[in-house]
Amino acid sequence: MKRYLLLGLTVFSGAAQAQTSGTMQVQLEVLPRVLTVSVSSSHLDFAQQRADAGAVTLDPATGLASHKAGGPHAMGEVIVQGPAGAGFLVSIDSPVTLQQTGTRNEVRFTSSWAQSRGCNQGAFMLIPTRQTATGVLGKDGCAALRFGGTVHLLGTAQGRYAGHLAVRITPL
Amino acid sequence: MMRLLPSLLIVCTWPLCQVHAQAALSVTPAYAVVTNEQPYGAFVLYNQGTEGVEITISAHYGVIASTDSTTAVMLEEAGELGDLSRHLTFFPDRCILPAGGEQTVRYRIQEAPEGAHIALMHFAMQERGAIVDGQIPSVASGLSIVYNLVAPLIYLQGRGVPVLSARFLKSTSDELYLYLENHSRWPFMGGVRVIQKGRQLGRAESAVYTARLIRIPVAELPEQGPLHLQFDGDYTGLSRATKRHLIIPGPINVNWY
Repeated sequence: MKRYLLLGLTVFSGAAQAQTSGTMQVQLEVLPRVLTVSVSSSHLDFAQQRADAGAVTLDPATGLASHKAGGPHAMGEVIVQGPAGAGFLVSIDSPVTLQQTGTRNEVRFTSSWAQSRGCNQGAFMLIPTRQTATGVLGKDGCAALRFGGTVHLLGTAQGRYAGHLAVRITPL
Repeated sequence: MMRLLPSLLIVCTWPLCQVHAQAALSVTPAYAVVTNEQPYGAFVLYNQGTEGVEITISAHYGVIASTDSTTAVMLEEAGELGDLSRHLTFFPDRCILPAGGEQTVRYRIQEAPEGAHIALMHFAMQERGAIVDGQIPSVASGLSIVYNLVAPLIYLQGRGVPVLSARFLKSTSDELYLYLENHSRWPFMGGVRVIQKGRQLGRAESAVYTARLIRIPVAELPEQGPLHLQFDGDYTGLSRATKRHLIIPGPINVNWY
């Protein structure tokens, strides 16, 4: 009984306090637009090609490779999410050199990328500027980016070539 | 057979689920401005994806700046703004974020000379892949992509007024394109208002560290003649304490033709 009485008094005093103090402070902090970057694929793989294949392109707009390859090819893909209409900036390091481990052999790579405005439509548009561009999130607060590029294989020594590509994504 | 159907479905769809597992990184705040009154702070990293990710954190001297036609991340240069990476300590510089995991990256700024200093914080996501030794018939080439979320970190030692100049670039039916240049060691962060004959035509928020291309939405295009640009200190996410350190520059004129 005592416990209920105490609880009742607490509730009552709380209500009384709320009624007597007529002012209330409301604080609201509006944070800058934050982007979330979801990585669907962080590999750009030309698979196995002939040593004299010439210019081999992974087209980010179509998702297709220009040459028939041994094994599956892969492109980099990310999804950028945030408030609808928010702007973002994408910068890519280019050109990049792919090195063969233990040798001085190298293959030159030139990047290209495409963007889909919104994530509910499948169409990717090739971005004409290769290194840096601004984008805007679609009405669904989402944009998909796909990264491909070209390697030039002419008399290239047999082997495995690897490298790193840095992509920077900044809210605007 | 019917009893086995659910198990078969799980087994068949399992590879599909694996394909869609992904890491999703967000960094809060998107930018940070600190002053000598409180020379420290933190970024919070959150992985709201379904797969773990390794994050490497680094600070680079650089700036987000524009030319006449594009805006880009510029490294190793930032006009008259100082190099904050020399005065910055942060921890940790590497972490593994499991799915749903959160990590606070704290930073502190040591003594820096008077003026504004900048560093672009890079939060690099790297996949933790296994080494595969397969057969190599001819040439196999591949790149691992490192995705960096970039957040500017600005430090203000003292207070000063930005010196801005503006140039009109072009217009569309509902936007004006202006090119703003900053000739001082203090950044401008705030609103840019376009005024003609005492009437405000449009406003846009922008941060001008060195040079910035800004688009100002307008309800109607201005008449031929001079335009006045007025500046205010309202910038989303900027604290009142920080606003005290950024003096609002006076109005400037732009020719509209």
